[in-house]
Amino acid sequence: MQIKRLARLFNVLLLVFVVWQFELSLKAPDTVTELRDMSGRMASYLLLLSLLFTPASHLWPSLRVYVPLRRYVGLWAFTMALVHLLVWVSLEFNFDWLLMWQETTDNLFIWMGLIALLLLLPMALTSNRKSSGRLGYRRWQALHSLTYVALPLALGHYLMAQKVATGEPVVLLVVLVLVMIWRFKHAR
Amino acid sequence: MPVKSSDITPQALFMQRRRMLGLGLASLSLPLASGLFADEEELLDPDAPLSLGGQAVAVNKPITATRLDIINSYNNYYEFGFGKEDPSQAPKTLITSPWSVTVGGVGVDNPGIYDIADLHAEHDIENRLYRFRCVEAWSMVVPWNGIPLAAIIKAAKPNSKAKYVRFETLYDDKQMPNANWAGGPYIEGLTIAEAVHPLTLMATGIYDEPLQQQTGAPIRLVVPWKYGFKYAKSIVRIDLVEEMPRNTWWRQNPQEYGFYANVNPKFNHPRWSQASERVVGSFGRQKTLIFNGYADDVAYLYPDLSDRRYFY
Repeated sequence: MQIKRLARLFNVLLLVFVVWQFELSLKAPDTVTELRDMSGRMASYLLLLSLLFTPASHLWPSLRVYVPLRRYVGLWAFTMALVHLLVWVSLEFNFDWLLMWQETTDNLFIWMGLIALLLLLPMALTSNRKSSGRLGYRRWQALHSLTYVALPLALGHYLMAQKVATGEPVVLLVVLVLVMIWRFKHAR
Repeated sequence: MPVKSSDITPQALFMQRRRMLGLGLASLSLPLASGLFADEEELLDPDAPLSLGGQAVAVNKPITATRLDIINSYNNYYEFGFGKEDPSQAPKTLITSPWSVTVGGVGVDNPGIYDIADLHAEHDIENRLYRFRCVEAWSMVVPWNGIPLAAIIKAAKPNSKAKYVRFETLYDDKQMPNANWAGGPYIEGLTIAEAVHPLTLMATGIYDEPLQQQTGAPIRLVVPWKYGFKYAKSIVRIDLVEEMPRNTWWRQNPQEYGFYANVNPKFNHPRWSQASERVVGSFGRQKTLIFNGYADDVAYLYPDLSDRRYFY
């Protein structure tokens, strides 16, 4: 299949999935919490998925053709992280900026999440081919390796927000550590 | 803030009055709660401000009882799974009838084993609309039905060795898929003064319906000025003891949880703020009140409000 068509298919499928998740959230006992947590979790999964393209295409060179899909995975991750923040600001805090500020100063994990989202922003803005040409591939690549900072922050944010560590963020963290070890040893 | 009757669902209003009437009766025998009761005039006037006990009237939002379907589907009951909706979706494996509660320990002269039906027959069931604040910074408003713990303790004839009360949840991996999550039965504890406080309830129902498996059927502790993890569910033993019981969360994570766990917006959890709370089932957050709004009734129990031990 042509990569462009595959990208379109991926986007449609993800959109359908997100709509379905929103639908489920509306039925949950606490819609606001559900929307907030669902969008945050999706952003974490997608970011981790974006990091799997390089090791996967090294292990199975035939997968190399799919690397352009990574851009969409990253953009969806950014979008879901943005939804996560917007749900928090609007539905959870009802635009009460003072209360938000008080909560944020007392919560290290909120800072971690905010910084992770800020780091995603320049990557989202430079995700197109033109930007990588303008920046030069090396600089563009260096900029986009910020994912390796953003994702640990995001997962730390996820872990710290829980009363007890559930398996989910721990599994994501283990996969991330494996990817980072692999990247450190292999192809730079 | 005065609450307009239009802000309150008829069901909530009904429950609120029921509760106040219930408390009015309780006050005859329990003078400690003198600050709690609305007078009859107020009860009859639909536009009168609703007093909820202590400071709760100062809440920035109307006190509206949370819908029963939300109360019954958003639960922390790790014995039935870690997710909020796991306990309500788990198979109904808990056998709640017959069920007996053993009241004993060195601190009682008249120990006994009580069937739930006996407890219902021997004691008046009271209705209490209480704010519920979870340590995870979310809250609900729950119209409980139950027996004041003081009445059960009184029947057991406490002696001078009764310094603390220890509560034990059923521990049975045939009835609870995740019974062993804490390596033993769920344990909670109160000081004897907290346990006989008129606000402390052994709940058997919500909205005049029996407790469900996920809400701690058939009988659970309710201590409205403390974080929700103190409200031990599906209780099989109540012991009056000399030593401070080591409650489950304290044992699990002593850096983050202790014995008293009184609600206080000024003392944060090590990982998150306790200054405000999400009201489950509605939008936005509201400010958390010291002792969850019941300071007028319970603050005297804690002489030093700057002592962190009381608030985690």
